[in-house]
This record gives sequence, C-alpha cells and structure tokens, in this order.
Amino acid sequence: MPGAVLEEIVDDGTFLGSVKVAVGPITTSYKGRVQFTEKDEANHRIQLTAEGREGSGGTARGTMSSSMRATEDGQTEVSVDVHVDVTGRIVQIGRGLMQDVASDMFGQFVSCVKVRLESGEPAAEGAATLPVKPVAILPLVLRAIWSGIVRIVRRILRRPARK
Amino acid sequence: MAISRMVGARIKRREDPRLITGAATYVDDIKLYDMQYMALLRSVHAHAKITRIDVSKALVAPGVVAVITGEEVRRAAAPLPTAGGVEGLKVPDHDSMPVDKVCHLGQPVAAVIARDRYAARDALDLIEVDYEPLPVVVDVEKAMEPGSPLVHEQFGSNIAYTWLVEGGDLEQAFKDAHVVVKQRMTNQRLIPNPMETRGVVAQYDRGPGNLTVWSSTQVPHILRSSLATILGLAENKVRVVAPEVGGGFGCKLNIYAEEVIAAVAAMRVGKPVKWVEERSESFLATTHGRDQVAYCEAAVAKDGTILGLRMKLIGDLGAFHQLFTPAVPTFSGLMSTGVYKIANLRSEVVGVFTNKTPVDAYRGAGRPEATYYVERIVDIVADELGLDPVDVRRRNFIPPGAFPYTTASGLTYDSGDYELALKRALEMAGYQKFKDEQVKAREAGRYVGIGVSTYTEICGIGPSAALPAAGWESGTVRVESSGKVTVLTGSSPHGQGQETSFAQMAADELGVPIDDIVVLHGDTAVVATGVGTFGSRNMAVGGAALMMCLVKVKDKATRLAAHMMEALPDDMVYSEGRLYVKGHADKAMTIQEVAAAAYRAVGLPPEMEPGMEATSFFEPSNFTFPFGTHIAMVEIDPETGDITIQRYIAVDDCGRPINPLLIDGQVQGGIAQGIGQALYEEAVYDDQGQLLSGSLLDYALPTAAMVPTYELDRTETPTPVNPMGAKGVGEAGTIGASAAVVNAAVDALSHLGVRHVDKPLKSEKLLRVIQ
Repeated sequence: MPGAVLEEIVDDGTFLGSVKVAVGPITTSYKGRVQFTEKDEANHRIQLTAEGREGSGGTARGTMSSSMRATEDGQTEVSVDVHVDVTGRIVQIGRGLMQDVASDMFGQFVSCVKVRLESGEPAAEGAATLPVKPVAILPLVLRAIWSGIVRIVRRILRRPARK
Repeated sequence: MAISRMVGARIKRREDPRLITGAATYVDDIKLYDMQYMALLRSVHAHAKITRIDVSKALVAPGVVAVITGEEVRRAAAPLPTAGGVEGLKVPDHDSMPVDKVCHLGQPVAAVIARDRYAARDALDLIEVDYEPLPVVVDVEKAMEPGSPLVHEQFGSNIAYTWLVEGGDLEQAFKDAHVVVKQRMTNQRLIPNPMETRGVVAQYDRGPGNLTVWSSTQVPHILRSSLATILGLAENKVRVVAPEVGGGFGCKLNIYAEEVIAAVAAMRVGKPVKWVEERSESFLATTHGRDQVAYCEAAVAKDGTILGLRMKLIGDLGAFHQLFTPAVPTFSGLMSTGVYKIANLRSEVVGVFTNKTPVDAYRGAGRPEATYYVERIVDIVADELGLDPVDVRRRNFIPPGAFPYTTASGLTYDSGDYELALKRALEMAGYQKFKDEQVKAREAGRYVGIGVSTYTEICGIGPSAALPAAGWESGTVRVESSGKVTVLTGSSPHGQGQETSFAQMAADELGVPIDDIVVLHGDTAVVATGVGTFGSRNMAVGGAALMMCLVKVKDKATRLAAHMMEALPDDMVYSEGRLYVKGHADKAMTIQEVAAAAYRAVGLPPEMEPGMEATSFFEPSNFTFPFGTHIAMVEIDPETGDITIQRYIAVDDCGRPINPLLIDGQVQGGIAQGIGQALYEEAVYDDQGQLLSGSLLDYALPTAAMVPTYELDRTETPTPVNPMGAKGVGEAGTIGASAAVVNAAVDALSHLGVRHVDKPLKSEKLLRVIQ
C-alpha cells in the first residue's frame, strides 16, 4: 500500500502501522491499527477494519470486505468493498478529491499485489520486508484533478443541446 | 434648503478608484514593526471532550514564539457576548477557546504565534490533541426530540428558547375558513462568503496600557466596548479600527473568538499579532445564515382572503449564541404576515442548539425567511382555490390608505403602496402575455413558469426600545477652517458606498463641492461613538444623524454670518454655499469665509463658541419598511432538471433615493444572493457534523454567469421616520428574490401536480420531482 508502514504485528490478525496520504492540498498521516474481523477461507472472504488517528485529532475508521470467485474463463475475480468514515480537515478541503485519490492508491496497491503474485513470492513474509515507497503526492494530485476535469468534460459533452 | 443637485443623482462611487486599483488598505495590508502571525488549530470534531493537548513539539518549532490554549484564554478573557433579546434564553458560556469540550467543527483549540505565517501554520501540525468524541446532533428537528444528544448538558434540552407573537383571534379565523392550507418549508443553512475573509491585527502598547485592534468588522464601536469588557480593560484604553472591509453581509456583525484570542496573544507576547482567516476556516468559524424549518398553516376564505396564519418556526442556532443568534429567527416571526392584512396570527419561534457553527445575521436576517414562507403560502392558496397568485396578493394587500398600519405581530408599518410596485413589475414582465404563452409552451413540452414575490422588510434598525441593543446612530460634521468638510459617521460602511451618498447630502446642504468633503468612519479614535452597519440602517439611521448635524452647522454659520453682516439670523439666506441678507445676494459671504471666521474667533457673538462643528445622535422613532415586487421567469429542462432564469424583474421602493446608482448596486447584489439560496447554495453536513460543503468547490456560490441580467425599476414612497424619507435598501434584493424564483419554478411544474419544492432547486432535485 503506497505510503503505508507496518510498525508492529500484534498477533495473527492485528497490525499496527501508519499511512501517509495527500488529498488535494492536505498532507496528513494516520497512525492506527488494522484487524481482520472475518476470515472465511472456504468462501474466500475476508473482512478487515482499520482505525487511524491524525495528530491533530482527526480520525479515519473503515471496513474493507474482499472476496474472490472463480470466473468461467478460469480467472479469479476479486471484489473489494470499502466503507470509510473520516473526520478532520481532509473532509472539508479534500472531499472532492478523496474518491479519486483512494482509487489511485488502490490501483497502486493492486499493481503491487500483482507484481508479487507473478513473482511467486510468498505474500505474508514479503509484506514486512518489501521497501515501502512513499506515495508520490504531486502526480497523485495532478491525476486526481485531471480525472475531475475529464469527468466535467464528459458531463458537458453528454448534455443534450439546448434549444 | 439648498437646491438639490447631488441627492437623487447617479454619482459614481468615490471609494471605487482605490478599491479597483489595489490602493485600499484591508486588514491583511497592515504591517507593523515586529508583527507576529497567529494560526489556529481547529476542532476536527463536531462534539467531543478534549482529554489532552500536547503543544511541546510546536513550542520548540522554528520561529514559534508562543502557543496558547484554552486555559490561558479563559484566564485572560470572559466568554463571548450575545445581545440575547429573548426572554428565558438559555445562554451557555461561549469561551473564545474551549478548555475541555468542543461543540462544533472548527472551534479554535490552540493558537500558535510565530514570526511568519508559514512557521505558525507548520507548527499547528505538531500539536497533538486527544478527543473523546461525544454523540452528535445535526438535524434541528431531531435535536428537539427527547433523548437527543445534548449540545449543552446543563440545560437538559437543546431548546434554547421559545418565543411567541400573537394577534387577533386565530381560532375563530380557522373556524371561519373555507379551506386550510398547510406546508412545511425550509430555509437551508447558508455560508456567507464576503470576498475578504475576516482578519485581525492586535497591538498592545505596554506603556499606557492601550490595546488597538484592527478588525474586518461591521461594528467597530460594539467590538471596542465588548473587547474592553471581555478583557477587563477600560473602554477608553481600547481602540478598534475597521479599515477597508471587503464585504460583510452580516457575518462581520459580531464579536468573534479570534478577535479576543489575537488580543490575548498580543498582550502575552508583547508584539503585534496578525491573524487572517483562510477561506477554509471561514466556512467553519464565521457565522452561518438562515437554517430554519417552518410549519405554516393558513385559514383562507373562498375568495382567497387569508383570515389567519399559524406559524411554527424552528431556528437551528448552531452550538452557541453569537451576538444576534437568538434574535434573528424572531425577526421572521415578527414579519410573518408580510404585505398582507392578515389580522389573526400566531407565530411561534423555537431556537434550538445543534453541533454546528452558530447562525447569525446574514443579508436579510430573518426577513428573507419570513417573506419566503408567506409568499409561498400565497401561491399555494392560489393553487388550492384555482385563483391567479397575483389576484390573491391584491385581495390581501394592506391598502395604501391604511398606513401607518399595525400588524397582528405588533409592528407599525410606516408607509407603503404595494399595488404601485406590483403594477409596474407586472407591466415590465408582460405577466398576462407570459401566462398565455405558458399554455403553448406546455403543449410543446416545455416547462416554463413565472413567480411573483411581493415583500416588505423591517429596516432602518432601529428604535432602541424595540431592540436587544442600542439602535441609534451618531454623526459629526466639521467645516474645517479652510472650508473643507469632514463628515464622521458611526455606521461604518463596508462596500455600501456611504462615502459617496453621505458626501452628496453634505454637498447639497452646505453648498460645497463634493470633492471638498471627506467621510471618515470605522476608527473609534476618530469617530467617538457609533453602533455600526446592519439591518439596512446606514442611510435611514446614520444618514439621519448626518442631516441633524448639517442643520446645526448651517444654523451656526447663519447666525455667525448674520452677526458679521449686522443682520438678524431670520433675515439670512443660505443658498448654494453663500450666505446673505435676503434681497442682497450680491453682498454674500461664502461658507468657507464664515468657517474661517469661526476659527479665527475674533468678533464672534458673545454666546458663540469658536469652531464649526456639530455632533448628533439620531434615535429613530420607528423602523422603516421598504417593499417591492420581484418577478422571475424560469424554464426547467424536462430531461435534466436544470433550471434557467430567463428574466428577472424587480421594482423596489426604498423611499426617497439618495443615489440611484448605489441602490441599483445593492439590489443587484442582493438578488444574486437570493438566487444563490433559491438555486445553488447549501451547507451540507454528514450525521457526524462534518461539513461536506466546506470549500468553494463544494459550496455553489453563484457567479456572474449563473445569474440573469436584471430589469430594475423603482417606486418612491417616502418614510416619515427620518428627514430624508429614505428607507434603506441593503437587503431588499435578497429578501424578494428567493421566493420569486421558487414560485416561478413551482409554477413551471404546477401542471405536473407540484405544489412545493424546498430550496435549493438543484437539477437533481427538480429532475426527481419531474419524474
């Protein structure tokens, strides 16, 4: 995960760490805990909850449910459902960009997982040792703004011509 | 009286050249020697206990001079004041910086004072705060329910007050009614956005113990008295300066935490301290506007006569009382019946605390809300009875011969001719033609509508006895020994243009060139006393004080000139700046010559003091009640729900006009803000009290491209309340506009069975209604 640092493995399903994010003009870091709340190996489902805090008192609290299923053409479809509640300046200033930044970070996370899977490295051990590259903030912001612009342009183009 | 040349003329604003060339001095332009900068850490929770604040890292950050927390502010300063004005009001202590609990997002919890703005801002990130979040209440009606989370536990309820105004026999009216119409309506929360955000510079001079505070405020004199009380200083050791103020709209009519904290900081560090509000702070920490829910019921006779009105208004106050927070919703209650002779009224106002930014005056302050309710109700009555909304208005108008007219709420309307403004507006709009074309447009599948709003407002605020605080205004006119004229006013304008309109009045009365006149305001060391700018009062109250001064000065000049010419004062003529004995215009003295003699002080009449200066206080005998008709024509796109205002007509009557150009400017700006509320603006909170529309990306302030060209006209019905006959016009546009636009939108959709849609009329909302 870009910007994330694993600081302590408490037990099998509980991890402490921090993550640095930039949304729009706001750069902040959350310190907190991630915990598996569901591990259903038979149905290929996991759920984890994460709770983090900024120094200034802002919070982020969320759950992520993920499941895998085999598709007819022999591939694996991974679906991820994330719900996050956020308080703090990031809500006020960065709200419009939050979705884009989150998608972008998740995209980077997916490519990272993909690289690992394809290299055949065992994920559990690799996670702690792999060097963490801090998330490149400026390109992220630019990309988020760009996708915003693209959306607006699309909206305008889709608009029915008036009179 | 001098021949009027300036008054009534479209004189260009004398203040504009400096404003548009960047030569004006706003708070942020003030730079003092060794000045430090303040940044504020603000609460990220809407409701939480503060369990720990650790400022140790911030204290040692580069450039940081001091970090101040709530404990220190509480030791140095009393809580922020409210004017109250409502009986039985529950008033929580409103610390400038809370010590152990925050009650809304954005409350300051720590201040960093550093050598520059960057160092101060960076150090904020080093402060650690532990919060223990408490249950949050955001929805005003949920806040009234038993079991709701409490904003202030000590009161056992979120209801801060209940206020009632009644008149006539409402029960009988409802018994006699042919039909009763009911509607729940909302006036959504708005976030004022003056172009200049707030800002403060505080300087404490240890020697004499004087505090000087520059603040972007509408009320320098009230701020001065309040700061003295809050900080325990003598009032005459505090000076407040409101330099150029870039808009206020009511949100700078307050005593703010930051003004107190900056003063505390300046006294603590012994250096001047500046704080300038970021736009994002402004969204959280500057008072909001409106935010009411109304339950309206009208008892109506068969012919459309409204027999009685029952209103329950729920005012979302936010978390604390700022200066006029409790009073604003009561204005809506007082103005419930609008321009109509509705003799039976019960208007109940409930003020309720929520975990949101405090609400206070915002352009119109309670009257746009009242106008909206009654103007919507009239349209709903028309719809119910199958009558034309214009006819229902006419049937219920207070007739021109009925003034002064006492309303069921106990107000006395000074003057009015509602039919005159309505008729003019209908002609300009081509009302009947539009109605005919609407039928054809509907056949073609187009949704077009016309909306009328006939409003009156309570202005020229106001008689001290009818207000929670003093309502007079003061002024001074000084003819200098050179003959130049200095005008001082306590009503401190911030964009309205009184440097022009007051100079027009002085130029006419004294007969001096307008360029010889300087109008000063906003500095308590220059203008000794004053009340401030709000409630469309500058001209109606401040202007009246100026007129009193002008009369006094002219009288003194006349007496002195008579003495010098060995004539009786009664035989003197004062015309166009020249004083002479009746019939001897060729042997005149100019006012400049008389003024020079007054200062030379040789050969004055024995009882006369030297100098030529007069100070007056005008205490109005009543409010003024401007009125008018606004008409909006809209088209709604059936496919997208997008609404466009095709035409906008406004006929306003603000009494006798002093400067029609300024009036047009006020009306245009006001309408834009009214359209903003009707179509675009809305403060949106999530259920945790986080502000989702907290930036100009998410809060849709209308831009020039989003408002139509206005077609404006005026009628002139003078008020007897002041010598100029002027009523005030600062808020009229806002008050008339939102009802006109919503009425037009509902009219456009009425054939689909739509009777009411709550503001703002965003496309997605209209599309849902259409579908």
